[in-house]
Amino acid sequence: MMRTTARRREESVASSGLSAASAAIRTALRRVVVGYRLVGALWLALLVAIAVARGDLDLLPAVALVGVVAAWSAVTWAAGTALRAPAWLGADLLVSLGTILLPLAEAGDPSVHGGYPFSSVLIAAWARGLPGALTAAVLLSAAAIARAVAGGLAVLPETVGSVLVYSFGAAVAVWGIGVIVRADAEQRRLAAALADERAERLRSQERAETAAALHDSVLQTLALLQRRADDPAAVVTLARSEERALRAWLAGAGSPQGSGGSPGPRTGPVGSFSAAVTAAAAEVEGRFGVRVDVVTVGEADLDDDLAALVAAAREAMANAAEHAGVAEVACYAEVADGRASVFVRDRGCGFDPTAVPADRRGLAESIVGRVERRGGTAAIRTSPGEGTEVELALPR
Amino acid sequence: MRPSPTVFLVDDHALFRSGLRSELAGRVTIVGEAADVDGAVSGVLAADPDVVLLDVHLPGATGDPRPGAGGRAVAETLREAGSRARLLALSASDAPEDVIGVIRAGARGYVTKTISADELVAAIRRVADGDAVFSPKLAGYVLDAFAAIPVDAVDPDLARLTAREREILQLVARGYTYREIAERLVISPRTVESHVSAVLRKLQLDNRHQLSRWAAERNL
Repeated sequence: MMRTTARRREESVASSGLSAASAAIRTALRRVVVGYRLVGALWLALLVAIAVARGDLDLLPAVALVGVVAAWSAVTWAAGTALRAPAWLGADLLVSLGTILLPLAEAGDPSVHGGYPFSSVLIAAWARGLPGALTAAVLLSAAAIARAVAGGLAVLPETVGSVLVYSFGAAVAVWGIGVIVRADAEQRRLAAALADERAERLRSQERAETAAALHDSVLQTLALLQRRADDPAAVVTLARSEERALRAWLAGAGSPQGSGGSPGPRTGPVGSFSAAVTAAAAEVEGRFGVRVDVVTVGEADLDDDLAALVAAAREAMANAAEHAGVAEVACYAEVADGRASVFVRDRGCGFDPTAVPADRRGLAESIVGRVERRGGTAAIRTSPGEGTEVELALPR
Repeated sequence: MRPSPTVFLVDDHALFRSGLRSELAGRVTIVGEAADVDGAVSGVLAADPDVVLLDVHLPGATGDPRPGAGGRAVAETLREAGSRARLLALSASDAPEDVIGVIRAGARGYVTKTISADELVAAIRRVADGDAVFSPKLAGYVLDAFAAIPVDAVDPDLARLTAREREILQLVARGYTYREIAERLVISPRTVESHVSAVLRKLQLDNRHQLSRWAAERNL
């Protein structure tokens, strides 16, 4: 498919010239062509000034001619790509023919148009390719010859020079533009092919990585399932943690490494708050064999404070998993309205907070203390038989 | 006791359908099942069930290969056909845009496939009664979606949740049942129900543009 695209591109280069060029090349060529037009206008003004100084030309027609040429040059500069329209090209050619033909000076005097008319050949070559350049060259040559017929032998060398410049100039301009456009198209084709190839290589690399990672994970799990077939609780836990890992992988959140390590603040917290909460829940699931349903709302980058909040939440989940005597724990984490909160809830046996012995430091130290040291709050709602909800919040 | 609601199962996995059948047997009346979009639409229109259990990730959506397009297509086609069946979305998928998409197409609730049989039967009954079923997961998605809608939204009444609705959704996301929420807020379960239904209505009426932008921002 790529090859046909390339061939089609080549064909269009051959047939319509400029239209195959990229926008950047088209703009650059237009600047060069119209830039030469400005040089030509300057050239003409210089020759007119010399003619006036010599007394060959009156001041009034001189000023009029320079004014018209300067104004038209400015217009063509400003016209931009509109210049490619036939009407514009025709008008442009008329101005150039005028600079050659208008009987401003005595017949036989040196001409004052200089290099200006040739700029019409360049513009026509840029806009219409070979036919345009040839048309302009033929018309301008005819005008130069007509002038020679009127002016006699004195202007003959100049006329021959003009005709040669117009015709060869047209050919050279068309050829040059063609070379540039083809080189540009070829370069873009190569760049596109390279990009295609690179994308394909990345894709296949990614496929290979995915396959390898999934194979590792799935085969390992299947092996474990076979060995633990007599222990339904373990199998459920395994399936659950693999499901979680696979989901995380599919969501692009990481590698399917099962219920991986804890996001310990010792190595410096990295990643997102919601991912850390999810990982903590997965860890608790793996450790205690209960299901932890996590819902997260909002998102924040993990910092030391949030890592402490997650660590406290992990303790709360572990507590619920260990003591509540239920198969499910719900964890809701939210970042909104200038605070981060985590709610850990179970429908288990509950307890009497006033009856917790003072030497049981789990609740006070690793949950409440952890959050309060960071300027947050911890609340525990529970009573025997009613389940427990731990609410942790940190201002942000 | 109310007659048990009639239920139509739509899921592309035959194993999952048969599992559902045996779990629900005797507690609801299963009147049919389908494995793809076309089968689901014609089957539901023919069987006219009270509730359709609709898999979000359903193949067979023509011209739209996105996951989640199938469930949405069924919901949209049934709504256009004027079916009275109420849809309960059911999925193993955790992708928020799929879930919100099916809800917006007309489903009255969303539960994950890991739900217990008892909870599923309760959810089916609730949907059959015309109520909305917000699982904790869906409540989280909805809170996220509304939080992402800019304050200068076109229709602020539709684009925002009231403080009460937000509070109730948060409690749902925290794992509270409607009954527990009612006790906690000292209101009737009916009032909780009507708040949740109001949120569902906002989701389904809200300017499409805003929620697509929410999805786009999350790279969904």
